[in-house]
Amino acid sequence: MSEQGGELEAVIGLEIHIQLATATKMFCSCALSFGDPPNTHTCPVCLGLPGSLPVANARAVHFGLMIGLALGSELAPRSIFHRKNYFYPDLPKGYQISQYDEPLCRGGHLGEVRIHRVHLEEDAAKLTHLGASGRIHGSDASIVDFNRGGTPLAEIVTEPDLRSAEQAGEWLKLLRTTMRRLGVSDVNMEEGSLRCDANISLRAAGSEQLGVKTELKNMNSFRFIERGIRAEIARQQKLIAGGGTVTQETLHFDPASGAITSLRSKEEAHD
Amino acid sequence: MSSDLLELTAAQAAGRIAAGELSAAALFAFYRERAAADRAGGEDGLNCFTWVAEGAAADAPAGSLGGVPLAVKDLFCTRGVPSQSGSRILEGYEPPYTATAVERLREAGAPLLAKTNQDEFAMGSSNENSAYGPVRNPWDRSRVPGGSSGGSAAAVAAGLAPWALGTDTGGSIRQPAALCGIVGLKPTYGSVSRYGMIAFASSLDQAGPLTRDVRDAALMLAQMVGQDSCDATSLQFPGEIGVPSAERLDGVRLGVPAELSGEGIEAGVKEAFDRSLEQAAALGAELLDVSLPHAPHALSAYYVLAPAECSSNLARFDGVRYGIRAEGAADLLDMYTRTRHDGFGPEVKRRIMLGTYALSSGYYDAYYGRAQRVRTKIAEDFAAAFEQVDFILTPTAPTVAFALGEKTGDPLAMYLNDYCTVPMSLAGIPAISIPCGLSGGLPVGLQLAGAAFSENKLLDAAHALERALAFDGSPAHV
Ligand SMILES: [Zn+2]
Repeated sequence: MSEQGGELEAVIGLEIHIQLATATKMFCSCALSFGDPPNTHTCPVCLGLPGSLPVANARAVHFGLMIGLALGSELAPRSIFHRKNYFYPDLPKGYQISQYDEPLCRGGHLGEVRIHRVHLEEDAAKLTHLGASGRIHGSDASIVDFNRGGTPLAEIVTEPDLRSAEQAGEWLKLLRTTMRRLGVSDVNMEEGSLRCDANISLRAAGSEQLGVKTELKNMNSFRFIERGIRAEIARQQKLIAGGGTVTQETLHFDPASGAITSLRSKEEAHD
Repeated sequence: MSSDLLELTAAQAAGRIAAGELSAAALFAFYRERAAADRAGGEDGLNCFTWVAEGAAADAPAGSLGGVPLAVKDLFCTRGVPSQSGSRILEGYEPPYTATAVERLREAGAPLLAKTNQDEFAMGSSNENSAYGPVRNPWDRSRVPGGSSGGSAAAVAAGLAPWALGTDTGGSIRQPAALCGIVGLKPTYGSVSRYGMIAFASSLDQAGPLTRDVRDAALMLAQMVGQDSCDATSLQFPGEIGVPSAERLDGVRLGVPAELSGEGIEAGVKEAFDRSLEQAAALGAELLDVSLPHAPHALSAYYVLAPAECSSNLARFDGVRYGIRAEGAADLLDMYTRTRHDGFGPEVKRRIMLGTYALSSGYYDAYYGRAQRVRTKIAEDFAAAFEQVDFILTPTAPTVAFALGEKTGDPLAMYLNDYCTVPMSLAGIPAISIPCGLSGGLPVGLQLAGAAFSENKLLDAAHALERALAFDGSPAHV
């Protein structure tokens, strides 16, 4: 496969997490909060205490359906929550309650970008790593604030219909406005109520085949999203031009240095 | 006075308290002393308890249960009282809340007397998998009481508690009730809230009574059933649980499935079972052969489904928030590994590994998916059988109580204990075990199973049989 000579185009799909503006959490009656003292909005359910059980928040389901209606999705007559099992200190039950093969909404579109699916899940707690690295590796200790844990999230997944960083940024603004009008979320990137991951690959212009994609995680402002995607496209272009191949991995964009680093380590493998 | 109190069933004791002939405080003190003596007894005791109340009962509201104290299986969360599910990983753990079933019984007038020993996370059929030591059978101290609610069953059989709360996932109430010569009822799945029960296998776990007789089981169950806003799988029980009073079985059709009453059943158990069938016929019941063609596959399906659920349910025991945390870990993964290595016993580890394998990508449909389809077939078998008969009768367990240590080295032999009880668990239907005789001086259990929510009729039939069988269930009184 030699693509050096031909024109390459970027293929971008987005995964957007939106914290829903319900009064209470996804599976318990703790109030949603932002900026309150740590661990003041918790109960046996959202702390994952032994014996506790989740009860789905009807309002969150309602909001999820409103999102589906606004995006022209097909609403599921029957929808199932599943457990996504992995160990991490921000995940008190050892699994995240999410949706797998029967999401709340399927299909739809916003502008010319098609929607793959919309599903509901619960947010993780907030981890702070003490020490110089700021990451869990090499930290002296890590502390967990469970106030955020269990916040209802809608995950909106697009089809890979975006072709440039600018287009992705513009489209995300359209989505934000739509969600704000619906009143289902504050959609504030700085506070984390709107989060975006991007799947990025390159292919020969005009080709139908998708290239190997990388996933760029958790970019927390509109500016960083565009810069991050642009940097990743450039990285892949350079790699391919040099005769290399893209490997599927999860990446982190550092807005301060502009560097892209591999994020996936064993402890974050979600299989 | 003391031997007099021991003779009373819970219903009789409640009646005396209501009539002013007995004080609830005196009854509590009487049983508290007996339970505390067992706990203090070490090797001389039965090791039924992991915790016993100190002093008088915490406030016991006057209710229909009249102040009759209750022993509760360790895995029910009880606020401020150790709730360890028989595991070292939860050693000393005191929850900040109380399980719905325990709370409802307390509100109805049954104060917490003690927490009972059990197999770790309810995984076992002999109570030998407890991190707090095995329980002994009061009929023969060298034998097991059954499991996983072994402490609850032995305590009731030995007169160390008037009655007890247990849980049943694949037979964990019925089998120890059978091996200890008492009554044990697993209600219809969903009829009793699971909120506050430390989970083993969520789609199967169900709370139920372990009592001296069928009437006590009905009395306790009546206060436990009902929808709970904290358990989305709980249902409103249709109608109320009444007091069973039937003395005859005229017109009642009883089905005997060859698959669960022939091969693999010990001779002495089979004899006691056959005598029970004769008694049933003498009471006017019609005995019919029924077929549960998929029942022989129940155990295989169960040992895929239950471990799969447990591997996910037990992921939360990671040392981060509660229970023990291994010291000196190098990093996060090391902390997880060491904590779970030190905290879980061998049977729990075995099931977590089995379950994780069954759920792993590429094997999910071959194991978990297939087991789910077997489960559906088994439920359909029961539905078809209940077109023909009102209840299904089987021995509760294939053997009487076996010796401590006899089966610990052979997990498959241990799993066979639940051969007759697992099919009902997979189908989610109610089933009761009542003592039906002795074999070699040890109790034999008779299991009656009915359609979902048939508890009232089931208890009535069990009551009539219990009267006719006239089992003398008093090992410890001797
Ligand atoms: Zn909560």
